[in-house]
Amino acid sequence: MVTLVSSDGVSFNVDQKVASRSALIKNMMEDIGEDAGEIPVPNVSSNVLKKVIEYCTYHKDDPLPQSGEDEGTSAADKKKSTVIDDWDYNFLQVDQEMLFEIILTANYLDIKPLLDVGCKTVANMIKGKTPEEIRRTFNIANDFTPEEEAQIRRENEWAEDR
Amino acid sequence: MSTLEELKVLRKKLSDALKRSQDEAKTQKIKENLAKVYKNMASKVAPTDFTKAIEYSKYVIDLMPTQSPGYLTIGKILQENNKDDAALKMYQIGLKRCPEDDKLRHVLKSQMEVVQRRLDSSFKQEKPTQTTQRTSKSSLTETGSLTEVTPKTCIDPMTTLPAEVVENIFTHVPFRTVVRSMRVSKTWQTTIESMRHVWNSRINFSAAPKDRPVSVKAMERYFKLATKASPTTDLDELKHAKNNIRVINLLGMHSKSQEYAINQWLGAFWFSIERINLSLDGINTIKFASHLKKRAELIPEHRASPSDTITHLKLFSSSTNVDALVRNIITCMPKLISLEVINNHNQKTLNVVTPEPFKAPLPLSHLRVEDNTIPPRLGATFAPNAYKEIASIVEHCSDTLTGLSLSAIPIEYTRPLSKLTHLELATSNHLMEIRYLPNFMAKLQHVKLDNHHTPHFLNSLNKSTSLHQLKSLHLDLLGPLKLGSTLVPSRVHDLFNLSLPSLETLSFTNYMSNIVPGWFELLTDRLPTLVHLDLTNCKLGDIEMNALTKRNKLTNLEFIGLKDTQVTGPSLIALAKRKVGMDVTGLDMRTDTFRWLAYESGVTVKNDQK
Repeated sequence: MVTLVSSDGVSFNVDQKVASRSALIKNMMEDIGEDAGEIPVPNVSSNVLKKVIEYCTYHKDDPLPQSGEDEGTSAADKKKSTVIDDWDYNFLQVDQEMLFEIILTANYLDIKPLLDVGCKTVANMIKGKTPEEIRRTFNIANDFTPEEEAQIRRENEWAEDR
Repeated sequence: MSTLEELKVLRKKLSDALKRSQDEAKTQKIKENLAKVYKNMASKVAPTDFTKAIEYSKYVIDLMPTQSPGYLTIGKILQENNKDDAALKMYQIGLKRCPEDDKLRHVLKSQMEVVQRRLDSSFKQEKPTQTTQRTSKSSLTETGSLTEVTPKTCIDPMTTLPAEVVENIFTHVPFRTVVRSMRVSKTWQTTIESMRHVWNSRINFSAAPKDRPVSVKAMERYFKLATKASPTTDLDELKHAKNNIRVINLLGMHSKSQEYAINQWLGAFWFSIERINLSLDGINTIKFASHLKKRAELIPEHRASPSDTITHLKLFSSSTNVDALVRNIITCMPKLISLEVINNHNQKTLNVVTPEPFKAPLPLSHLRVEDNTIPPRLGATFAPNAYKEIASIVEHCSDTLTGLSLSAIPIEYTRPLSKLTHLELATSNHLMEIRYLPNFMAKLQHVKLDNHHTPHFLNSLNKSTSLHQLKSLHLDLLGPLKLGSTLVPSRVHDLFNLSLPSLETLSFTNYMSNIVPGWFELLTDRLPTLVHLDLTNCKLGDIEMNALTKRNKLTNLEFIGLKDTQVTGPSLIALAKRKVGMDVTGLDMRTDTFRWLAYESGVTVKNDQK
């Protein structure tokens, strides 16, 4: 068992197997040894950490992603699998703030599969959308002048949906 | 019912009309219609794409805020997605904003009651600690402005997430959408422009619409982004730019852009590209060939030497001389592993002089050459040596080739291909010399042959031939109209008598002669692993099918293609009861039979009839 402490001081007792989904914590445990005691996770709040632990618990028996795979193959793999499995899909049906917090935490704690599935979820929010729809999805203000926008639009006419 | 695509077209027309419209009454009318279209679109996508559905419904509200059925639509979608409380709020907003429309108010009220009851009962059962269902509760307000109605808080990923994560996100977005997204905001534009992988390995114009191919101006812009040059840099300076574009997919371009691609892109990225997909029209094929020729000839002192990075080339071209084109390619790209040339030209292939032998070894493992120049009819005349080059390449790579696909390329002599696993041969009157086939059959996994090659393939089999690795066998026996399939019945018998312990897919299509029922009895014993069987357009009726259905063999069979055969209802039902899916396009059957098959039998049923 390891204890993870969130930024707002909440402790979570977690199985080692679950905690080692995070490459960062895994390395830490290897460095410090068995009785790691409390591991602070300073930039993650308790509600996000709870979600991330939920993910790690569900996936605790998955094979660990291989480290050191070269960029080429991983890029090809990424392209192949834009499919998200059902559990992960439902797991990430949260508001954007939470989704981005989860992605940031996965990035920080180095949980590659969670990071990837989070990125895919965001990618699915962008895919096939017009810029107008994207602005609405993420509540982004259009800071181009009409002339500037028309200019970019003209340059990339082939990519516009009509 | 119209499809989503049709609705999108309609939306486009209406919104254009809306922009032009001056007359107020007319505008109102258009708005009403547009709202209807959006409502339909929302209900179309609701089961699969929740966010899109909400988005479309919001347009409905935008268009008709005081009498809109959009509130109802959004509410229903929210309900379906188990967001009852959000739905309730939506209905309340609707009631507030539409004081006049009595009919709508009534519907909204009754919906509200239903939801309220559901919520009350679920609160009793559930403990309020559910964190996974953090849906939309907090973000909804009653003030009713549209951004606040949005069931999610909205945050710009570009400003919230670190650069490497944003790059990761964009690896999952198609190039066309990425390009289009530069218009979202200034932050998005600069971020996308600085993303290395997008410009180094994601450039892909294959999604460009036919009527709006990629312009030269756009090509120039992407070229500069790829070379990290400032937009004002003179193009000539970029000719020898150091760079590392790895993958380019240059399909769907203007004639002018194609030329630009050959001169600028190939020139500058010659030493970094690994994969190219390229489509060229007639004139540009010639230009491409001469570009390659220059490279091939200027080797010693010029930079224009062979590329040591290009490993994959797929070329859609239009050349009168495939052989010479392929020769140039091979000479300039000695590291090629996979070469595909699909040639479309309606003139006869010209004769070529006998090629010089290759000096260096070719590591090609995949070769595909299709020449659609010659109409595939019997008795067409060939320039006798038109494909010597390709023949000699095949011979040269006989130790490395694992995949060989030739269409309308006659090859007369070849050494045994010891590593070949994939073989496809189509439309040629000359024969590929098949006498060496038995030598490498043991490794074959995938074979696809046409009417012309099938008999020769079968002829080359003998008792000791083993095809124990063969996973898929496709035989398309469509022959010339007057002559029919050239496969004689005794040969079909041989075919069905083969022992194929690994075969998973068998297609035996367009066989024009009669089928003997006994063949299927043979078949059922010898294909223990068969999953997919395609018998499209064969003279196949119930008697023949009974051999399959009654004897309950082929235990792993999951799908059978029966398009345009003469099989009738009872046999189909018997198949479905065995849990075998089927393609029933073109079959004559009663409506209730079809209904049972499609909706109640639980098997996959394909029917492309219009």
